[in-house]
Amino acid sequence: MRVLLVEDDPMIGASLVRGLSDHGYAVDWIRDGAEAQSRLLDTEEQFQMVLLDLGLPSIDGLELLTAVRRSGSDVPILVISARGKLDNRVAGLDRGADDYLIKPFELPELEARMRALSRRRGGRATPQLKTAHLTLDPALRAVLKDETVIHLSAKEYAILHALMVRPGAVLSRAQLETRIYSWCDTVESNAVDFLLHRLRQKIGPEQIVNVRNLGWRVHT
Amino acid sequence: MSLRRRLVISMCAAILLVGLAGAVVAYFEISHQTKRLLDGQLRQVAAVVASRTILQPRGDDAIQVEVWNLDGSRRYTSDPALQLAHRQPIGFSQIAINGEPYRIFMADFPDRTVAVAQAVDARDDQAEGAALAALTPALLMLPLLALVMAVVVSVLLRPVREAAQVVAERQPLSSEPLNISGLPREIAPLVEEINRLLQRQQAALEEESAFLTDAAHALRTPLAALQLQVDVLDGSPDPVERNSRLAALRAGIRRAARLSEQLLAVARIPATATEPLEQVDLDAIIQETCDLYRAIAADAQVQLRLQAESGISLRCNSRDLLVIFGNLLDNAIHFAPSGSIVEVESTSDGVSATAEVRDCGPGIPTTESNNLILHAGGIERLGGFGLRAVHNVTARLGGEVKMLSRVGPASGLVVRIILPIR
Repeated sequence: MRVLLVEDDPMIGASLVRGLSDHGYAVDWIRDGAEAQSRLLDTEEQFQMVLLDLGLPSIDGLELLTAVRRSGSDVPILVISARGKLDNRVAGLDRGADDYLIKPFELPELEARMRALSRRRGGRATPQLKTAHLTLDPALRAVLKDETVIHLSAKEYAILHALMVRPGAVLSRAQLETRIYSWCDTVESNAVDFLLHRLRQKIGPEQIVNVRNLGWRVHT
Repeated sequence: MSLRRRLVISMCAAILLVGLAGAVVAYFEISHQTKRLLDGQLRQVAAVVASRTILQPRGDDAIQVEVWNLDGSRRYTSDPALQLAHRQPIGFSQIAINGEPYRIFMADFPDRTVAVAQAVDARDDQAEGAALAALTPALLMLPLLALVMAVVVSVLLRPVREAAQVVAERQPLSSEPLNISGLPREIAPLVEEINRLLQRQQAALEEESAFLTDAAHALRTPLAALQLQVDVLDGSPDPVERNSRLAALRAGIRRAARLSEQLLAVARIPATATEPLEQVDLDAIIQETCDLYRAIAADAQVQLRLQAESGISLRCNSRDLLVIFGNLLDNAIHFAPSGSIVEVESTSDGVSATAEVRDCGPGIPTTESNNLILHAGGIERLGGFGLRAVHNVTARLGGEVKMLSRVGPASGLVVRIILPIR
């Protein structure tokens, strides 16, 4: 999952990038409000989630939130802020944030809220993603094939997760790349092929279907 | 002792004293008047006796009568034991008969001399009785008067008592002013003073509360960083990455410690000067502070450059100036990139002294005003509560803090302190 992190504190930002990358998220980290706004209003960029601090240089997080929502974007936005007063929280949610987490918080809670947000966005109430043979539990980061536990690397997991969010939907190579790499990672040209190859070895080649010239989808 | 009780006791004492003094005077006056009346009675009796031809003993033995003929022979006596001398002085006199004092009235008439005598004891009894009879109602009214007075005092002091009751029932930190309407003019100024004191106290409490709120807010970011740094500590199998995460955690702890020290420093600054003022040389203090921070600057690979005009003397506390320049240098060194220079300069125009600390750090957005910078959100980015301490101390010295962006190609923050020379 590709996440845009907008956070001006260097320590919080660095730790969030580390923690989320450990768990297979591709994190783009921006420290400046204006830059975040231009990235979010750029339709070429595809983020599945935005983590937004409010106290930002140049453009305040609330203004940014308003601008993004006015542009018609419905990307899930989770506000992470030290502003914990009721009116701050209400203002954040009213201006279009999907959730509001007050600093300090623990990483597991942030990830649980991110999962809950993407679950809601996918229209699912149950936390698990399922196909005929595969079960993916985002909370446990566990993958089961017919009750057998499959061990995947962070990037393999990220690819499978991207494919299983909407089972049957076809994702292009570029789409898969943006899901697993942040913009500062160097993407090798055949990285997606390599990851898909490894993934097929682990879960069975028939589970991922290649749709010629379009991309890939999971076998439903 | 309550004012009411004091009033009642002192008023009762006054009533008693004045009442008794009045009673004593009245007693003597009434008995004197009574005796004059009795004297008049003696005269009348003498006149009656003089007009009578037949003298017979009277039933009333309180007044004795003797009558002499012109030749001095006794013509009549109401009591043979009396034996008055014929030639007493004419008019009133007092003599003792058989050891008992008598008041005598002696008068010459054309055909006789008449003496009328009355026992002094009997006269005194009558005078005393009359005086006491006249005083009794007045004396009985004394306690009644005291009672009325107590009630009146109580009623008059009711607003004061009610005000005291209101104060007693107040919440400890309530700042609502006390109501002065209905209070007597003597008490109202006291209550107004109390109200002013409450206002000042409220302002101090609000200041403290704002500081606590800001402090709690300012602590959130470093705590959030620490929490996340701990959360990701075990996330990577790579030993190099693990070491780097541990280093990040250490840096996070240092940052939190630095902020907490700054908070303590601000909390310790008293709202008013507690130490006596002295003449302090500004350049000496700046020199001293720079010496203190030279080692820290060297660690951060930052050079300190000092240009202090000598001979600027301020009337203040050296400790206050150390707080100001210590915090400014600490802040500047913290934000200055390594290899850069932090400049300290002081000048004077005779009226005020101006000191500037300039760094090549990230500076401040030009849109932010000084007020915003001193708001918690702003100072967090500008080196925390140290600048707040600088602001508080400078304000107390009657000075001014200005935050400016550095002019020129390089970014940087300029903090200008303007202090009055007194």
